[in-house]
Amino acid sequence: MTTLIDKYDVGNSNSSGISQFLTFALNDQEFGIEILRVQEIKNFTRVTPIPNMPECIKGVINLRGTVVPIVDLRKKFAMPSAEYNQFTVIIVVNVGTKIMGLVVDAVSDVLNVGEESIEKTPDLGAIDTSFITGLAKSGDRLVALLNIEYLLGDQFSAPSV
Amino acid sequence: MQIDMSRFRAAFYVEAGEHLQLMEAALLQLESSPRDVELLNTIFRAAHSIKGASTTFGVDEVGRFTHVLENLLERLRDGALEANAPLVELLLSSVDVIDGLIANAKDGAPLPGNLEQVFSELHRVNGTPVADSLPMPTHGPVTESKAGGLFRVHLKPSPEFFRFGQEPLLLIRELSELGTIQKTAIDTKNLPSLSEIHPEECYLSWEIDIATDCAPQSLEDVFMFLDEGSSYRIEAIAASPASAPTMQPTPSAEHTTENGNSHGQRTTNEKESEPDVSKNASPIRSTAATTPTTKAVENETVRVDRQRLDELINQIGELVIGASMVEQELLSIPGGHGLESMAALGKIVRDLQEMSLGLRMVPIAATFQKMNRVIRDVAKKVGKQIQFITEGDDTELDKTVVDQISDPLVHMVRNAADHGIETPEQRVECGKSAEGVVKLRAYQQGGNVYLELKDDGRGLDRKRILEKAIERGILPADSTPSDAEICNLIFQPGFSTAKEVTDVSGRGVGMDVVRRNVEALQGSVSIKSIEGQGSTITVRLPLTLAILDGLLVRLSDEVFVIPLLSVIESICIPTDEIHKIVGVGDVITLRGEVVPLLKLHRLLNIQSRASSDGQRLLVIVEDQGRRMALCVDELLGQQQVVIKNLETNFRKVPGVAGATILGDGRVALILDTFGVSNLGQEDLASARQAVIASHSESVMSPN
Repeated sequence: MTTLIDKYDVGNSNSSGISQFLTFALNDQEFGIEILRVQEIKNFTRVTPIPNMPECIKGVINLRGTVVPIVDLRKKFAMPSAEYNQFTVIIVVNVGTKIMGLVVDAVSDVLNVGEESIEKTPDLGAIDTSFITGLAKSGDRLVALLNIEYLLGDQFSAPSV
Repeated sequence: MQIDMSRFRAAFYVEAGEHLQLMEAALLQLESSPRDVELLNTIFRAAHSIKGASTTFGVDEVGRFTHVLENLLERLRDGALEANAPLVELLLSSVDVIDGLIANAKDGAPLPGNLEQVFSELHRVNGTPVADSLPMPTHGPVTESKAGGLFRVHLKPSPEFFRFGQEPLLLIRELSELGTIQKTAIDTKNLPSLSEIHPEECYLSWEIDIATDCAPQSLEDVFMFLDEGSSYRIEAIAASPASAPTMQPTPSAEHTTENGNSHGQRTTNEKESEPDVSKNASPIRSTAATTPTTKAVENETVRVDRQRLDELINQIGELVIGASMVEQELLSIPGGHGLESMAALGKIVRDLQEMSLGLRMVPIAATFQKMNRVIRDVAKKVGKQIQFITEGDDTELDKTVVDQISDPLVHMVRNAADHGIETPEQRVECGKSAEGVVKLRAYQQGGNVYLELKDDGRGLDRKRILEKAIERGILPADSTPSDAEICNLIFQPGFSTAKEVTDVSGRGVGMDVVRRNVEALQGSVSIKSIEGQGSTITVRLPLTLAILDGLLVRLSDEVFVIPLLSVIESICIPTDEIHKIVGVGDVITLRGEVVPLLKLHRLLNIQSRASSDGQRLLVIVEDQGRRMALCVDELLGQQQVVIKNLETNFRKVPGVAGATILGDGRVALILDTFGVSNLGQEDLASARQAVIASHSESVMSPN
């Protein structure tokens, strides 16, 4: 278990082995991102579309002078799209050296999880589950912890035609 | 105290590079005016600075090598040697060797191959045996006379001493290498109480008595890199008989301060031994503070980290956007309050932006000077006589552009010297003067800087180029390309017409690399050539990569920026003048010329609203000589935009050159005309495929 945490933790685990995750909702499911990856959370604003991109790339926004691409996570996970409402937010995350915005239904809270309550992703055979680092249990909630690098890394290189 | 030497080393490498450049320039001039004392002094100063700095930063090989070089320069300066051609050649190779040694120390590049040879050659000219070739680098080169004695060194560092990366202990150690330190006294009277002490400031001063055989000059060399606020003084307290008469009292501006801190802490030991001499002691030199004042007359510069500069420029770009957002909001408030002061503010902000962009501009002179050397070396190697002329050295370009144009320019200049200019015999045969002329000119025109390389050599050999192109399969055998097309063939990858491959050029990786690099800088390159009379290559470069003059257009709800440079005109035509041609797509005729029409909505995947007025708004753009018409919904105006890279946080997008932030804070994409035309080609190709597919289907189907 330690190795799992060490591997994906960017340094927020203190000596007691507690990690913090920002949780958010997508299509009534709960997901978590390491809190240190999160730069800020902002309301959904107008997005400038980029031509000829996969459907999940909504476009780019101006984040105080930086042009930041926006990914709709519902589209990324092939979930049915939803109307954007007042709860719809953009979570701005750091992926490697890059900054990206994720559109999610709503943010919930910050979850403190001890190492012992993170479970390994169940092996689903042929299905690639690498984008989930583990499942965190908190009370009766089950939060899927996302591996942002794996999930979004492919967006940075142009698809080979 | 730990000093992060690596940080200072980086500065040393940069500085050493500049000194080498200076040396090289002066050496090249020296060839034509071997007796110019000022040139010799420049060379000497540069070598001396490199030597001193390299020793300080522990790059000993450079120090040792430069030391030997300096001895030679010394003799040149004194007139013992004359700067004839072989000697200048040797000095130039020495510059290369130092460059190589620095590269070696910097990132472990292999040692220069001719190190040993140049080193022993230097010794031979110096008349010193190679055996004693490894002198302590800290030894001053200047005086050979036995000018030793007992000296007292007063060292009073400035409070900022440590912040300049200096360390008194290192200086004292360096002193100790020159002789025997008999006594070191520290003056602590400036030391504040512990509660007031600032850990990064230096409160101490020293007095060091040293017995040495070296001349006082060597002792002074130790302190040559003191910062301005620090001072030192060397006085002879028991000079050796030989040197005593040579001591000249030099008036020192810093006397009072030094006396102020040096008295009251003499040790008894000293008073007993030399009471009289210390009274008569002659201060030899003033402080380090006086040395930089002579330099200040020259162009004073401040070294700033590139990234910090970029950040500043970026922030000012944001300021411009912010200001125009406020302006728009003020405009929407009825009554017009505050508009006047906003206009004033807006002007300041724009001036500020202009100035900030100017910060990155550097003259192209340094790059041109490099070419001087390239020409000279090529000419020597292949036995040609070439006169190299530069014009417009002061033309300023963005630093990024200047850095990246250097390599392509070397290629071009080499080509001109190696292929363009004929041998003296051939030239005389053709009735030209034996000496060829290569001219490199820079000038600014509009938003562009042009670099023009002109030679009066043989020009492009059309026949050979055409033969080669057909041989390589670049052109079909029966093609009859136009003259311009033939000339442009040399920009094709792997194309070289040099009859033989020299080690200078001719490997066929020249001009296509040039073109690629220039295009990467959003520039273009073209060639004009008259057979027998020479060629002219013109490189067009944007003044800066940070801003762009753009035409803002609207497509449905989105705003796009078309680089104004590629815009020819915009026209409005009735829809019935758009013709469909199978396999080519839509075209229009513009004053007799057939121009393909690109439907941006379709290519950029934007919902188009059908226009009912039967008119179409077209922007005619040109990319590499090809014209096309882009269909847009509205022209919004012309504006300077700050270019934001999409790759920073995303990736390259076909048809898009970058993004920018508009006055209202929205992001607009900048179109890449070349990319858009490619998108158009792909679209056509896939449409054609679809036609073929449907056609074959209909043939296959029974009905």
